[in-house]
Amino acid sequence: MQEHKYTMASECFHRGQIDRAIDLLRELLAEEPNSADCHGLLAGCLLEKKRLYAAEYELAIALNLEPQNALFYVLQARINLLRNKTKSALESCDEALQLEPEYLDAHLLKSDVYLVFNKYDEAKACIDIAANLQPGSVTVAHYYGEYFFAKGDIKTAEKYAVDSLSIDPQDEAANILMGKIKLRQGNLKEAEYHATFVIIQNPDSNSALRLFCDIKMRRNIILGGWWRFNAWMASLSNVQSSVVLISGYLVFMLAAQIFEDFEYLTVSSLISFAWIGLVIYSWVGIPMYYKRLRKELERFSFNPEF
Amino acid sequence: MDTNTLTGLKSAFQVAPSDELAKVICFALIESGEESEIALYLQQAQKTLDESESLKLAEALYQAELHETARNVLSEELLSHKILVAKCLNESGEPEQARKLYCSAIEADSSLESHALNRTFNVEVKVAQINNDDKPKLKVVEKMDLASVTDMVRYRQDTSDFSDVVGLEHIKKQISKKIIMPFQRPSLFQKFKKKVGGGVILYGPPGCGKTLLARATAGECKASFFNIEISDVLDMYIGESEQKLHTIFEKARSSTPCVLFFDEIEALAGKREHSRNSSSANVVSQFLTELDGFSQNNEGVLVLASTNVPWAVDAAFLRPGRFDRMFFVPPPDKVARKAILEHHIKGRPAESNIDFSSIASKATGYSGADLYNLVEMAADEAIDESIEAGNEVVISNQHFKNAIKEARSTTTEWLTTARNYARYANEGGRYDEVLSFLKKHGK
Ligand SMILES: Nc1ncnc2c1ncn2[C@@H]1O[C@H](COP(=O)(O)OP(=O)(O)O)[C@@H](O)[C@H]1O
Ligand SMILES: [Mg+2]
Repeated sequence: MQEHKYTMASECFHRGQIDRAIDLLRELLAEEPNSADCHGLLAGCLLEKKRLYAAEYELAIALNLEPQNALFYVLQARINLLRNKTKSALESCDEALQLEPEYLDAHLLKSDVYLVFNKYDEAKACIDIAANLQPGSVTVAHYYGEYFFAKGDIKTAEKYAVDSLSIDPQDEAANILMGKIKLRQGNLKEAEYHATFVIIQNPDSNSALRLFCDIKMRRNIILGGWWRFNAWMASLSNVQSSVVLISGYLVFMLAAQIFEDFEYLTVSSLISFAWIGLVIYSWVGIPMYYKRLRKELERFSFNPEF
Repeated sequence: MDTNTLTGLKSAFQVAPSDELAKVICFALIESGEESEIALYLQQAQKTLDESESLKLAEALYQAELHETARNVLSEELLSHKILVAKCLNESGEPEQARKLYCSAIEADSSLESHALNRTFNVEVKVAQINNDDKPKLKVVEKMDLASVTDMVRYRQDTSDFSDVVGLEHIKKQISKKIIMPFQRPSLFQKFKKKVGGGVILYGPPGCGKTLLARATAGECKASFFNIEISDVLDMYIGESEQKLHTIFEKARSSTPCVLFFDEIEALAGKREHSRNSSSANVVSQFLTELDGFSQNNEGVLVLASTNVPWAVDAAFLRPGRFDRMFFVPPPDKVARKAILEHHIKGRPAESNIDFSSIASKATGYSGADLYNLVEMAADEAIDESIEAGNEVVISNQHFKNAIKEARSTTTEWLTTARNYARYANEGGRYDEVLSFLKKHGK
């Protein structure tokens, strides 16, 4: 029964039904609090949801229960990288590789870390190892692409992007890379195509949404700003958006108070109105944004004669 | 019937032996399982037995292993008796004669043929030549006949042809040139050393008529048509799927010329990561073996398949000699959409001035199924209105206008995905047709 539940949770996780997976794992942990696998998978789920602190907490428990699990160290490295603790991230990768020298993800993650502080040669060395471990993999081809893209060699990056797409045309990361390359080359239409292609498949993909907003920014900086603002608002959870609204309230009130003290009454009342405007916008703006987004996602359009 | 009655009948027969009574006693004996006694009454009973009665009697005798007696009840001349006579002959050590009789029976009525019987009588069925002026009747078998698994054969009388498929003229022409002609002029093709049969995949967005086209193709080429339900092959115990697949192909090979149709083939021939009910590697390799026909001759067997996800089909299936021809079934264009709408409105109460052209041009990207759905929705509206108004309201322009607001096109998503495959994974020009379609009709 327990095992079955765990399998189900892990299946949900791989299919992207993260919330369901989290629920299942929490149920499981209530019955069996000392299962390292459960804590580890839960950390993975929380990481997907970008709840880094919670993920770190679960992972610490998992590592405490089972210190010899390479997967946990890779997760730790990923969390550290997201929190810009590059040095610790590197250490976690090495830890994982010590336990399992042929761990593909660990090598690739290491290259990610190196790329963050522009150590190109080291990054390439890691990808080379990965390429030897698994020739012909989409992920490896995509990492080469990212590497050349970071180095500024767009042409070679494009070659690798095409390579990875020809292995799996539906691969998320490969499509985003291609989109970034097209954006850099100034081919906005193509870039948009790849970004929306990913969003259609996975509406929660943050990197695809970011790319999409970047493209909009390039088209029109104000509209682009609108897209980015909304994407950011939409990505907030309920608690987070309440926090944003309350802190917004405090900032506005403070500003209004200051202007009032200096006798700029009109400005102060404008600011109060702006606050009300923000509250109303947070209510009606997001559905509007989703509606626009859905329209943008109707990617393929026929020409009128068809 | 209890023993008393039987004894009563027997003594009555002793007193007054009549033919009718003999017959009654014969059937009574079958019922009580005393077939061995039948021989005593048979001679008299036989005079009154009609064709089906004697068949019934003989079958019982055959079951009781009284082959000689059974043989005496039957008549070789009657078509319905022939198979059983052949079976009796086979049992009593005259296989050669049995075989001849069986052959003459299936020649007269090919529906009597079965794979099991072919094996019993050691009969190999040769590729039949189809004569153009002597068109054999189309036989559509919904499901498969198997040696071990019975009751899977169902005959379908209603058949479709190309007139049921609206539009798609280009692909119809291709199909008749490359698929139907070889069936209708086999000798011509043989002379030029061209193979008849092979594998063809129809692919395209869902609801655009792949299944429809496949059925129509079968109707057009006047061949036996076996529609294989993939779930029938797969929902089996381990190892049975392979066996089943083999039997299906054996059956096909013994009833040439024929079309084997596998709908939504990705379930059977899918790459592991794509398939929903992951077909085991064994099934895939069995399928490949059957297609190759190394040990068997696949001449005259056309394997037709359809799929919405051609990229999920294992590349091994697309090599030469297997499914080496792929036809793209595109979404209908404006003209075709109009024709499909008109096709589906036929026979429904509708105003004569419905502006199908303008509906069709608003329905860009709609598949045939979407259009069918649109007509259904308009009909629903008309029905609702009729009920409210209390008299019959026919389908009008307004109903379509309301319906199209809620209807949706389903092909664009497919085309978006297909575009990526066509551009980046177009091995050997597999998706050239998609590319040129996108180039021609995309914005
Ligand atoms: N070209 C067409 N002409 C007439 N009807 C069509 C056509 N294409 C699709 N349809 C309608 O759509 C339905 C679904 O088509 P089908 O052949 O099952 O689609 P597919 O197999 O491609 O998914 C058909 O039953 C028919 O009613
Ligand atoms: Mg179909």
